[in-house]
Amino acid sequence: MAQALRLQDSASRTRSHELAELEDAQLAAASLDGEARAFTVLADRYHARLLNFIHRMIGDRERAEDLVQETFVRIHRHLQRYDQNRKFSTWAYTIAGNLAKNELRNRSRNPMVLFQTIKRNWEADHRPLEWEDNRYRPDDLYRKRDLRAKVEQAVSELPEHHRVVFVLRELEGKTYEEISEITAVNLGTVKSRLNRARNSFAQLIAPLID
Amino acid sequence: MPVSDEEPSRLPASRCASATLYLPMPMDCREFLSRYSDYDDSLLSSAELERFHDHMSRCASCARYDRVLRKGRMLVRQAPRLNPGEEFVPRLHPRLWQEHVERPRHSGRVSAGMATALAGFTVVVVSVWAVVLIDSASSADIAADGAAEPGSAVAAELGSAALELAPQYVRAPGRLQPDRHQAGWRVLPPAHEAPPRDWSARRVDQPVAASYSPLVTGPPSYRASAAAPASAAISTEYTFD
Repeated sequence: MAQALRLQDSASRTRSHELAELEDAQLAAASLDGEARAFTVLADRYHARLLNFIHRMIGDRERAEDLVQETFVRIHRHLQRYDQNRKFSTWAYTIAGNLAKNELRNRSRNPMVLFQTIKRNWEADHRPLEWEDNRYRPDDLYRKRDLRAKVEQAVSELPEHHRVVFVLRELEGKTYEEISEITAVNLGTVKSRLNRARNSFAQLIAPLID
Repeated sequence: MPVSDEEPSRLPASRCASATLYLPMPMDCREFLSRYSDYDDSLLSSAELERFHDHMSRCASCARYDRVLRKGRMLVRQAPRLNPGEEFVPRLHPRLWQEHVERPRHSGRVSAGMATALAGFTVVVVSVWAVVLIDSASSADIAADGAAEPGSAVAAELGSAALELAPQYVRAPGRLQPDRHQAGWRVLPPAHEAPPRDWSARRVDQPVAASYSPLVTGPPSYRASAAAPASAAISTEYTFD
């Protein structure tokens, strides 16, 4: 009995290793074929990336986690619609971006959510300092952390349609074509929005940096 | 002054004495800002890149812009990446499992609904066909009754050939026939008995064959007995007295 369990466990681990080496589209196909672990591998591959993307978009970590969960549920539900000739990441970011956009729209209709976010950020500002790097003195660390928080705040102050392009390009490293597909706008609009986003960002952070 | 022969459309009209070399147009701050993304993403040719560098070497404001943007981007990228909390995966897996379980159930629901709709449609179609069938059968029955009545003028006209071709329409004693008036079944009286008076008598030359049912596929004799010119010539009306 124990021997059988060991064999089963070993086979399971081997299969997991095999799945981990597959491309996204292959994992999606395997999931559609009924291999539940394939979708788990996909989720593990993307949850951190999508969390950071959505967090940059909406500025609320807890809500971002909820939206990442919702993203995966929707991906799983509509996986048969995924075109396996295209990049899975683009499709996943499209769904996540739409959910983030809906969240921002709902938030603008419900100011109470915005108040909660402000309160949460206020609490975060009053956390004790963490000793991140021994090479810096506490005042340096504080200054650096404060500067970074302000720069991140500048990103969140960009208009939504500029912010999504800026985050996808600067932080997620997407190409213009991918951004165009994710945001469903043409390539020229992506370029002009990105340029304007960079200009606005530079104006916001210039007094802090230079 | 750098000299370039690339992209002459962007170059000014100033030319060298040889008239084959072009001088690059100096960049202004407006062009610098409008095309900065191309510069930042390395989408420019070497000549265009040179123009950007040249402008930044002369314009402190644009040089500052470039410096600020690069430093700001670096700060944003240095921000620690978030990782999902410990409860993220334990929360996600049950939801995915629920989706996994419900996916076949959803499709089962769809097929059950489709089966119900198909069954309903079949019932409607069968009902319509049954009405048409009953209608045509009773009409033919009346015609056949008259045609097969022994000793009647109809039988005499059609002869035994019609009876051989349409044996199912020959009235047999005690045979079940659909009753279109009472929406049920009735037992026909034996051939030698006269039909009841309230039967709706119909002229044989009425267009019985016009009623068509796809369920009645068989008898070519039906047409022969009902729509034959011989029956059209008969103008006998039943009398049951």
